[in-house]
Amino acid sequence: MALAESKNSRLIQISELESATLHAALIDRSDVGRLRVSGDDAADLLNRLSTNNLEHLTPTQGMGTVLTNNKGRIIDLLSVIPLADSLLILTSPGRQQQVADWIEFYTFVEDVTSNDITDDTAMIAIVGPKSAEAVQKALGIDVDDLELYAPIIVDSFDGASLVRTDHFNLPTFEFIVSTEEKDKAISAFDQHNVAQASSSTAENLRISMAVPSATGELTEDFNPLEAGLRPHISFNKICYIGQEVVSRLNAYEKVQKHLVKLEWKTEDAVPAPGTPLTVDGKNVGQLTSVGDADDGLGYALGYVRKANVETGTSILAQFEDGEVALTVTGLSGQG
Amino acid sequence: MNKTMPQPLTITITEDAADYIKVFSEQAGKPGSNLRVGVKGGGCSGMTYTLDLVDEPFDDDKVIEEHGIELYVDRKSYIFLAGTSLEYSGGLNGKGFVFNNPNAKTTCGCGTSFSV
Repeated sequence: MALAESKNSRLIQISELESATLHAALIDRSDVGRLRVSGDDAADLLNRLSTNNLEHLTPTQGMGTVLTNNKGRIIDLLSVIPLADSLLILTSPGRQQQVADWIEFYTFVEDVTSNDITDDTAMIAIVGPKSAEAVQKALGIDVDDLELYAPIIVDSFDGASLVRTDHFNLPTFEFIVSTEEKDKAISAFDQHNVAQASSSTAENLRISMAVPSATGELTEDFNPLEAGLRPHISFNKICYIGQEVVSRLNAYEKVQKHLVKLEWKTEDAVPAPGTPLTVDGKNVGQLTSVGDADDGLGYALGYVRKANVETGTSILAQFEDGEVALTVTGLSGQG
Repeated sequence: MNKTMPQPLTITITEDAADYIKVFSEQAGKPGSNLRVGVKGGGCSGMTYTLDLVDEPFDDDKVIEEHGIELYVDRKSYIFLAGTSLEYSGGLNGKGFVFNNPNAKTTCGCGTSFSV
């Protein structure tokens, strides 16, 4: 019975994954932190605290950026989205208070105020190659040419905004609505056969698409170059906290390890995050996220020394009860 | 036995630095100006110093007077600047103000930012 239930659950998950990767699926991402940061100096302060060049923010164009500490390690990856009178900042799930505190600590005489709106709003992601078509049908908005981090106000919902983030390394539209209108938003997509994927499917999708997360990859143990966050780093902007370290690592090619995608056969034992990775008996890194996302194949993410990150490299995950052979299938941040 | 009472931490300005502020404020067309010093987030190490010629303090600024110059410091910056001596360097390594800040644990390579 339990085996049948487990098999059934797995078939549902595979079906949900196919929806996301081949069509469109809805994923509840309300756990993502949302801060509304306002004040005349908001963009300038964030520009001094993070890796991307926020001088290029316009009223219609946002961007991703990484908060780093003075050792160049990751505090969090942020999406900065301009709204009419403020900046909407998406943080990792559960990181909104830490990010707000970080901003507050570095606010001296600047005109900057952060408000945590996570609990007042919901965020649902429409993910997949046909997500633009799904948005058009459900909300009546043409988003074919919508650029990344460029927000659209959705008039049919009170104060709602839609922004393309491609968070899952697939076309991804985040629909941010008041908590009161969350069910209405989900229903609008459900009426057009955009089914909601479970949280476990979302996690497996994230891992299979090599999206780093605060649960394993976006931590102060790693820097943004190791995490594959180069698209969110400007190398010709003003000084920001951690810039000296990040720039030196880049200029002298001193990045020692990279976040990689890994695959293994699911009939083998399942390694856990934190499991050491070895090649020829030598430690080359560690697993950070483990999923079981597809027919016969499991997916994982891990940080691996740069000498061992070539696609096709065979790596062993070694733990108490045995070992599992994994294969490197690519670097995170490179599609 | 005489006990030496600890002196409260404050921000001091050397006579050379005060003299240079007077010269500089005249050159800038703002004779008699005073100096607002502070800290802001940013720079490689986390915080950078700010210096502005001003006429008056902001509300809630701490005001320190020395060598005929008034220094204005906002309350939050003061936490990170207490004990600092503001000096003027005219040596071979370049001219300019130097913050000798005992709270700075590390500085970046170019010396313009610090962490506490």
